[in-house]
Amino acid sequence: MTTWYGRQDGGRRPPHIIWVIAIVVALLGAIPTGYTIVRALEASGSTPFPPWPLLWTLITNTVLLALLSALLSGIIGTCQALLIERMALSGAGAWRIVAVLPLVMPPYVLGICTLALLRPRGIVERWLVEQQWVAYGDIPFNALFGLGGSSCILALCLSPYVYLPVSAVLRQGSHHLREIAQLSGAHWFHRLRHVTLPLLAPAVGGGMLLVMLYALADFGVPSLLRLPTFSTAIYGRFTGQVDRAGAALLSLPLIIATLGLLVLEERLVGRGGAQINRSWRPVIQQTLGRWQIVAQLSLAAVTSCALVAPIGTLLYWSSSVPSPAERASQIPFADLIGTGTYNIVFVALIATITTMLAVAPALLLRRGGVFGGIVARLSQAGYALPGVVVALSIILVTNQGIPWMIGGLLPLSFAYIIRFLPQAMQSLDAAFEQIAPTLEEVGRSLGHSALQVLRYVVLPLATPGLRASWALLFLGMLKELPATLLLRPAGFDTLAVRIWMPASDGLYTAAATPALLLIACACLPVAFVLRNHQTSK
Amino acid sequence: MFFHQRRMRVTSLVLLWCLVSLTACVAHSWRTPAMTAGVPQDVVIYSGRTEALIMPVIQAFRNEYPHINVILKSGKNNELAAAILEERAQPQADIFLSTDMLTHINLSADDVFVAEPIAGTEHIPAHLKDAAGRWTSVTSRARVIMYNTSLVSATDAPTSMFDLTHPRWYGKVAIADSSNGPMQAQVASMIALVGEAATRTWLDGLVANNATFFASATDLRKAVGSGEFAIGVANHYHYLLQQQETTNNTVAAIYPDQADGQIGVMMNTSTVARIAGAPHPDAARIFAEYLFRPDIQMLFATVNMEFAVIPEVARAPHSVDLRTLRIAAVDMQQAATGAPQAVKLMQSVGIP
Repeated sequence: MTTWYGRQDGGRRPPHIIWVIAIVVALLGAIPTGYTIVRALEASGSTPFPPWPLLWTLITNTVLLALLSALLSGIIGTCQALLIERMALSGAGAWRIVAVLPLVMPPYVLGICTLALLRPRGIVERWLVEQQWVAYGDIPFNALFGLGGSSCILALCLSPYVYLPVSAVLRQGSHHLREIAQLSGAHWFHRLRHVTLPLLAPAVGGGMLLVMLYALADFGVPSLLRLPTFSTAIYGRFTGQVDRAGAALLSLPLIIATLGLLVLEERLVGRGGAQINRSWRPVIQQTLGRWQIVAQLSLAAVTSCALVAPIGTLLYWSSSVPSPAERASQIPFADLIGTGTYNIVFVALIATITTMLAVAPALLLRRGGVFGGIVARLSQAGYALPGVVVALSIILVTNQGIPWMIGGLLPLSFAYIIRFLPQAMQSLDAAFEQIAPTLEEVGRSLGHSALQVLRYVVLPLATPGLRASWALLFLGMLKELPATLLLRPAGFDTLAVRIWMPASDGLYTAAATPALLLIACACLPVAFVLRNHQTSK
Repeated sequence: MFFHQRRMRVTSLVLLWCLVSLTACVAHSWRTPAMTAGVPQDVVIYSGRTEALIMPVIQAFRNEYPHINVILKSGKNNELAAAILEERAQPQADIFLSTDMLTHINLSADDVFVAEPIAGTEHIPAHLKDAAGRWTSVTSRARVIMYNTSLVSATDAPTSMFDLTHPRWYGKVAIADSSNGPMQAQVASMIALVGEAATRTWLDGLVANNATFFASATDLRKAVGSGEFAIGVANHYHYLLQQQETTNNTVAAIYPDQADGQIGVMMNTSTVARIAGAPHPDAARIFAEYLFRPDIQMLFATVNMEFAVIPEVARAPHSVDLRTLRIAAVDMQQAATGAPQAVKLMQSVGIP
């Protein structure tokens, strides 16, 4: 029996305190977005809306960037997963780790390195000319700028979002179908097309949607590669005029697009049926034969583009002598260490708070009935809203309602919480979902209160999920750029800001040391994600 | 029971750690200011300038005043101006440095600046400072057309801003976007000089000519140096700085619109003001006066290659003699009033 506020029968109904917390969190998540929409509608009379040609450019660039990055990372991630999990690949254990590692690389850092290497008269062209193999301008390095370059960079960095779910499905999925097909003499391509890919579709689709949402919101890569998108245009208006209304107006289409994608995601995720397989056994891996070398080379190519080349460039820069302009925009190493340490403590703190806050709405998502569902959805309002828009909405709200908050770290903290709360909710929801309802029901039937069951049954069982969620939040917040740029109080810098400040002026080498530090810090949570992934069967 | 206690311990440890971190954060952001000279104190600077162009001066200041801790927040002029207005009840910044005087003129009307001339600025020409002392220009800069000499010969280079809309420069022009202070000042000056209709035609022409709009002028000068663009519009020191680079340094510049009947080269200034009700007024005064000391003005002129505003400071080598140039006659007050309109004009023709 399901009532409008929760299930009466099983004892899975969350305790009252959870409801109170969830409603507060929902208000926190929904008010800024709602207020931005109101301000945007108000401003539509007085502020010039971009002319149609520009608006059209922004729409096509943003949409194409999202689609292309999703497509490319879908291909990369799926191929990686198939090669690693289904083929008798030598060194599969190492590749399993390497395929996840691009998570440590913020897309804007890869963008900076790619620019330095491949822009016209960049490191590569100058070297080619020095070898007298080509003359300047023979190779159109200018093609790097714009859509192609941006989507390649995003796809390389975001491919783990596809690889992780797909390889998980491949590892736990039923292999009977494939083996039956094999026994029936189906050709490998036929098996791939009609058995493996349809089974993988929900995982691939879900991963690609995540990439799409990320690409839609990304600010660093398109602004480095001079691709005007909504994020960069909103940032331009935010920083370019004293009046905030213009930025609010421009964020309206982006909010609408994001909500559309969310609806799509809801549909797609609902479709993926869990495969319950009682006779699990490892799949018989297919031998690669002479294709082994091709597989190894292609995996190596992706890794060298996403990791080896950029990290190598950063290491080279950090040991080279900077030009005067570069030296001027660098901060001393000791200060950088201080910035990094403070950055880590701050991010760890906010990630902890966000994970704790997410528990209540995540519980209501499936256990709270219709009303609980609405409350939980409201707290996801900040989902995939670009950092630029979250920052804008926080500023609009603090200026109107809570002026005492201006100037400290609170606005930035709220921006992080709102931006990453939905991500935490998703991980937690997945964790809570795996807990068998009977366990909770037994707890209740033994006479314990809902709160006690939550504390002694649900939360302990969900601990791995809580930890995984925390690690992902830590990673995301560490790499966060636009909201930090716009909301940081004077004297508060993050490693991401220290990378961006010189890099946005084209002074790439000055960004090397902070970038290396950021990557080093990001390794910790990624190791965690990796361990979780390895043990998940 | 054992399990229960262990969980409690973990929970309380986490909570304790949160509390400690929170205290650390609060302590960090609310450091108590000390007002006496010689005692460690902060000065908070909101700067619209590229960090590479202000850090040399801040570094020199730090060496000379080790007890004053300079906290720099860099951003765009208008972003910081908006922050100053929003923080009016509780000012966070002591000093506001911008890349054009228009932002400062417009903010003056909101009474957010200390209205008292900075010591040492007496000899600065009247058109470079506020009569009430609310803002003062620190350096002066000319808006030039820089070009890559391996792509454009000196005789072919455009001699007027209005040449940039000519089809022969299709896709070859790099210029700043609507968030850039000097660009806003240039468009506001053009509105004052030739009227809004002619300015709109020029901006429309740039968009139609497929010009690329940059958020950072330093990035722009590098792109012209590397030959990605033949032509770039920037402040004069950008081409001088690009010439000093070890690679991609084949650039030169035209001081445009010098012929009879043309508008003359447009100027803009970097400008400073002290925030009224700021948390560290003493340190702010020391820093503001420091900017106008002749040796520091010379630093701006030699390291950044800008024009000093103190008449006593000698002209830096490399830079042109301003007296030989036809300078656009712009009423800055009028241009300032038109500055928000300039931004909206750029946005409405489709400049990002």
